[in-house]
Amino acid sequence: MRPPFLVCPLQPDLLKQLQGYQIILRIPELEQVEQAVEQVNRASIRLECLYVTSRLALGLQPVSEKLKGIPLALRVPSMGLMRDVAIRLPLLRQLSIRVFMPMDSTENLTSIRILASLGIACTVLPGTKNIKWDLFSDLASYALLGLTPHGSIEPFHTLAREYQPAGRTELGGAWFTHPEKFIHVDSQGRFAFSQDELDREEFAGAGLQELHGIFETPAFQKHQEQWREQFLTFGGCATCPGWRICRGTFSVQAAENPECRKAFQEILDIVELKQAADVRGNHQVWQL
Amino acid sequence: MSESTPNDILSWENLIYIADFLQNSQERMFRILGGEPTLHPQFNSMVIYLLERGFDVSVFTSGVINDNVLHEMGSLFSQLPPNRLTFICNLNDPDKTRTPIAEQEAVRRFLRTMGPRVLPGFNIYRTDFSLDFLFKLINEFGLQRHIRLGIAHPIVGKKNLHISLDQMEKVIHSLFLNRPMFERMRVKPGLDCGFPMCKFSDDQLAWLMRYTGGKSEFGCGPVVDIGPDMTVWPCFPLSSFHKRSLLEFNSLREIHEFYDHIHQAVRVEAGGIYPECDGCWLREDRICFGGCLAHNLRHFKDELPVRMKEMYQ
Repeated sequence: MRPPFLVCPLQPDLLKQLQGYQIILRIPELEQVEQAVEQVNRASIRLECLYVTSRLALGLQPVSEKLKGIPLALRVPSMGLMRDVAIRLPLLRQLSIRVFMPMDSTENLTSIRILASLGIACTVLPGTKNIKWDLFSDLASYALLGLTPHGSIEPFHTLAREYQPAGRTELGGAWFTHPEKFIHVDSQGRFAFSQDELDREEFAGAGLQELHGIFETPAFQKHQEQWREQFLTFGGCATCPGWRICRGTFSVQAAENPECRKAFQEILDIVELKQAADVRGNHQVWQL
Repeated sequence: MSESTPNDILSWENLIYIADFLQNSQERMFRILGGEPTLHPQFNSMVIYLLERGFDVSVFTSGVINDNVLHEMGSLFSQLPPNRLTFICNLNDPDKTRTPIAEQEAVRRFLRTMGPRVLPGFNIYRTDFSLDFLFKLINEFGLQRHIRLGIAHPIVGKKNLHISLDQMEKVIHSLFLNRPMFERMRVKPGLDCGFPMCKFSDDQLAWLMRYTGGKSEFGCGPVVDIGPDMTVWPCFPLSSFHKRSLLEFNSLREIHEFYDHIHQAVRVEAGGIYPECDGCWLREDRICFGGCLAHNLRHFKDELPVRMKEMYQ
């Protein structure tokens, strides 16, 4: 198993201890990018990307030339006004950026489609409120079967790339929640398998020295086997045809609104259609 | 952005699909028609979006636009090259068409704000018309020096005020009464579809060809309209004729071919709007298309359904 990426806050003392790790640095606003890059350089650590969890809409983001060449994962609550986004578009298109937006509003699902169609890579975040599942599956259809080239939309592109009928597909990797790939660290070096767990102080380790051998710990094993609970309790997810791609990621929302079953079944169909189309596209008759 | 879209106005999802569809068809012009398109709550945002997608945008409007929308349009689009965004504004002669003062004022505000982007249009629905008021507006507001002249054609399946076949000559006569003003004001006439070539004299045709650089056409063919619910139809007069869904087609070319086939089928039954169109060599050589197809279809409305099935959908 390859070493995990560490998702951690901008904390100089912490950064000094992270040499040799692949780092995703979490900062609150784009204004801190310069400072973050400077500290990363000073600590000589390998930065995979900056994860900016902003409270400002995309249309209000202070994008500038200085951001060019820096891999950015920009989480915003919404897109904002089209006119404000349009002003920033020429620069946004030159940045190595992916825009993350929660899918708990109809508006955001539409905004993600707009941005992707304008060439901006986007990621749909689960969010906390009720989800419009029909729009979600419709977005998957656009993401994978759209008529023209557009910015990629995660998690759908990862699904299309990695889904295997007999294998495991972890949807959460698209938003840094995948125990095998991402470990979330707080300013004191304590870590967990997701930001939510970190916020709830459900730590998998109390210090960075415990990171070594993390994949052999009971905490990791528990995470890896968590999906079985759906079958032990025989929750709605246990009988869902979309289980193979969702694996209970939206079990909380499913308990309130089982519409996700239909959506994930559709998404599974779309993914299989996309994979079949890609295979056909890859093997031309003179290549057989 | 609003959270929901009523069914009778264009949603963002459908707009993006249409934009993708047109892009896929190598079409770079996006024409927005109504009703009144500026009434859409996302009108300005959608125009910005289409411009960002690389389309040149052309908006058909009455010019009666909400003050806030107009103000925003002024600030958003003032720096844009005129060819990227054009407004085709159908204007009425206030002396001939009763128009409330408030509406007239609204149109003037629009022309003042968007003048150089506005291509004036005139819809001919009566035989006694003058274009003097348009020449005045062109001068006053610096509108584009070109008038789009459209004839009010019958709408298939509906009753509407339109120019009948025996009024065509009078319309053309009235149009040419404006010839001296076209020349003096250096404004070019642009004939919309459905003018029958045979109703112009050779002298009139020669003037049109010379004055428009040979750009006058006497065509009638599918322009393809797409509704907010993704239905497609060939053009406004044929808006209830052979409606289909955009989702049935892979490209604009396919839609054109589909409706071209129907147009040709109708023209087998009735070559043009006049009986003499059937043997006309100008029509056979496609120099003139024999007028608007909506007139052809009216020839069949009072008879038993004995013609090819394409006539009746």
